[in-house]
Amino acid sequence: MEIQVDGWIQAGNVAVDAENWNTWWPPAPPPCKWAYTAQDSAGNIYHAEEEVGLTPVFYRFHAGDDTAWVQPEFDDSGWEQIKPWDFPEDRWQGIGWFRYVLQVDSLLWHQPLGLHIFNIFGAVEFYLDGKLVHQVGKIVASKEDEEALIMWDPVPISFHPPPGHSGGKSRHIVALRYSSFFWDSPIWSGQRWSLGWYISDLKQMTANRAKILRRVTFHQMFLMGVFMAFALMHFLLFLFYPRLRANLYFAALTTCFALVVYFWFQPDFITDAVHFVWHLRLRNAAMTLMMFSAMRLTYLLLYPKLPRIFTPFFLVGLSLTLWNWLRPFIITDTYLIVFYIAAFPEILRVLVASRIRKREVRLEGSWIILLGMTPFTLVGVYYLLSLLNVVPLPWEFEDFPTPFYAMLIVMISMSVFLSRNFAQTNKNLEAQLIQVKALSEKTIQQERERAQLEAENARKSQELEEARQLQLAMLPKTVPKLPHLEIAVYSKPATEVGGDYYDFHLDGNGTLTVAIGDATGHGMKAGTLVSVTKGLFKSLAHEDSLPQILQKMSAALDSMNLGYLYMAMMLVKYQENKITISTAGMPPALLHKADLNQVDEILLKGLPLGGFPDFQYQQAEIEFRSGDTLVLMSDGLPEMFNDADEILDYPTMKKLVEEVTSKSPQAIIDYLVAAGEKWANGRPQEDDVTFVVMKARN
Amino acid sequence: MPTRLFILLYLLALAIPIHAQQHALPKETNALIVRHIPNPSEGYLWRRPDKRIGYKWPYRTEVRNNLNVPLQITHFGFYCYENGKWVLENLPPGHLYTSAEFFKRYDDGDSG
Repeated sequence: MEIQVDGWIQAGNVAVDAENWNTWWPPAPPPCKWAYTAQDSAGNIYHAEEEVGLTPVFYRFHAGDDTAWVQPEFDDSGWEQIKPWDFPEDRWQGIGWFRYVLQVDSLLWHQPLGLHIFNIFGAVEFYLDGKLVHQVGKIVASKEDEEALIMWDPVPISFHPPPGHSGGKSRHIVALRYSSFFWDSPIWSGQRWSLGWYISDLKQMTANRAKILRRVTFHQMFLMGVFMAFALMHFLLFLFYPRLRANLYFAALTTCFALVVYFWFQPDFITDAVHFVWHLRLRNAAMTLMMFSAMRLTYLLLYPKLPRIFTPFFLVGLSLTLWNWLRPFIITDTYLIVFYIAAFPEILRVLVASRIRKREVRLEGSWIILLGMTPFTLVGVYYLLSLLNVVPLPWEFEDFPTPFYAMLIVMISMSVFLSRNFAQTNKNLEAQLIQVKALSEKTIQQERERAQLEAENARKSQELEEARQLQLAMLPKTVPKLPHLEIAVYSKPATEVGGDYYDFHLDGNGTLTVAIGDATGHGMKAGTLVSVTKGLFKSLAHEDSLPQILQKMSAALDSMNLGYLYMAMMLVKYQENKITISTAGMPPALLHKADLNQVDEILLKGLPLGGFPDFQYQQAEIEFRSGDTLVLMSDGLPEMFNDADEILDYPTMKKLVEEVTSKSPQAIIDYLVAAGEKWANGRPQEDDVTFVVMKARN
Repeated sequence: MPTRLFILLYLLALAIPIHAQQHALPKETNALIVRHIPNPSEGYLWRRPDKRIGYKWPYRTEVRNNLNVPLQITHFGFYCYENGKWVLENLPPGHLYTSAEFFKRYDDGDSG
């Protein structure tokens, strides 16, 4: 009966698949079954299923070591039977034997096949029908001498049937002598021991191995080169401008990632089991450091100091890494991955916050990093979904390690972000430099002007000093010597060139004319006025009438068009117990009459010289007998201010004079000067101070 | 009242799939009898059709229609027991073989 195309089986008939077969790897399939669903023309559904026993390629194990166990004819029926790739960890003593019965199809006879033994982490000898095919490491009896290795490259193996055997399958005995003393080491606790081997096409195996190495080498060298270039560049940027610490953390981040790349791909080249453990530890440590660097770098966007939330991340990451360091083969790997997955949203949180809290942002442009992280985030989510079997992986990790290249995009974005900030800083500095230059030029200009001013001042000071010397030279160097008159003088200008003046003229008949004056203002103009006044005095002092002398002097000064310069002047003529006084705007003279023992102010009206040439000056005649004292003064001392802005004033002057009338003219002057200094109490002298004191004597 | 309504709807929701399943359940009869020969099968090393080398467990499978009416195989598959459940191992993954594929593979006809 023929089966119909649409799958019908006629009543009572049998459909047969004569060449049904299954394959499984490793050669220990689980329970399997075929299940069928059928229906009849009435729509009734029927179901049937039947398990098929796929006999596992069992092997036998015996702990210990005996060279007789290599023989194909050795009877191992008393040995423990275990499934392929299962490892008797609880019975393992460091060395043992595994024996297999391997049936080989005749099509594989005399073919160049390849053998690969994996998960060795120790030493192994592989025997086929009693002959050593391959040896990895050196089998030893003690842990101390162990040379634990890993095998990656396939070795040739071929099957030859016993003489006379033809067609079908040949039967072979595989024996593995194996030693490994790691199983009781705490570091290796958790490692799933599963010494295994497989045989395949040698060409294919070699090609696959070469392909893997080629790809791994490319990815390792390319990614490491790029990341180290980033690290070097940004470390140099940090050295050139240490204030932008983000460059340092980015250099650390890229260095860590270069290490991760190295340790990730390097195991494909490692043949030493101990080195394998170190690579595992260092890879995870580098990943943790990378995460710390990434977090530290991100926090710089918003926080001037490391925020507190970093502390739990740091402690958990550090603890897990240390735990993983001590026990790299237990579940710590998974915990670390959970930690990395938990830390990643924290980085994203800060990046997003830096977009929202724009006022607090310390480094501008986080959108660049966010943009760069988008592919990495999508790739990460896709890989997680593929781990959960929700989506398939489009290619193997070794073919194209997508997360690493997505991370490369992140690094590029971070580099662009930092370079942009660096450039922005440079721009700001450039702008500030322009401002500083402008300010410097202004300062230099001001300095130049100040220097010119100082030079001008120095020149003027020099001129003033010369003028002062000239003015001082104009004052009499000595006072006239008269038999019945004692005279003392004092003059101290407030500036280099003062406006006060005194002078004497002694006629041949013994008449002494005394002048004391005070030019308005100080300095050069006042000095000039004093010079002119001295000349006028010298030419007019011999005349008898003091008011006329003052009037002539005033007219002469007025004719000189000196502007608002005026000269106060008091003239006194002394002749045989009599003095005549006339004044033009000077303070009153103080006269002490010895017989009355009182001090009187001689107050006469009179405008200063130079302003009103027709003004009629007054004159007073006073007896001046033995013991009488006349104090002539400028307004410097009576109008002196102290540090409390109080004026000394004329009544006080009068009192001061009253206190010293019995003394000599020089002593009177000394007393008055000392009283003035005491009154000023350190306040600088603001006006010229001049005295002429005359005392009549017997 | 809302609580009662919720319980009623809940029971209704449960009842629908149960009712549907009762109709979909195949008849547990000896209508189809499946046999693998040899069973168990012994594996050996061989070169697969894709030139790769692996283990092969060969056997012959017979599906007998034990009724007196024709039956059509609507779908069938190979399952293995993994992690506590039976997992379909057909290729491509998840694909249930059809009646056309049954006709193509089971082409030895009536063995009597």
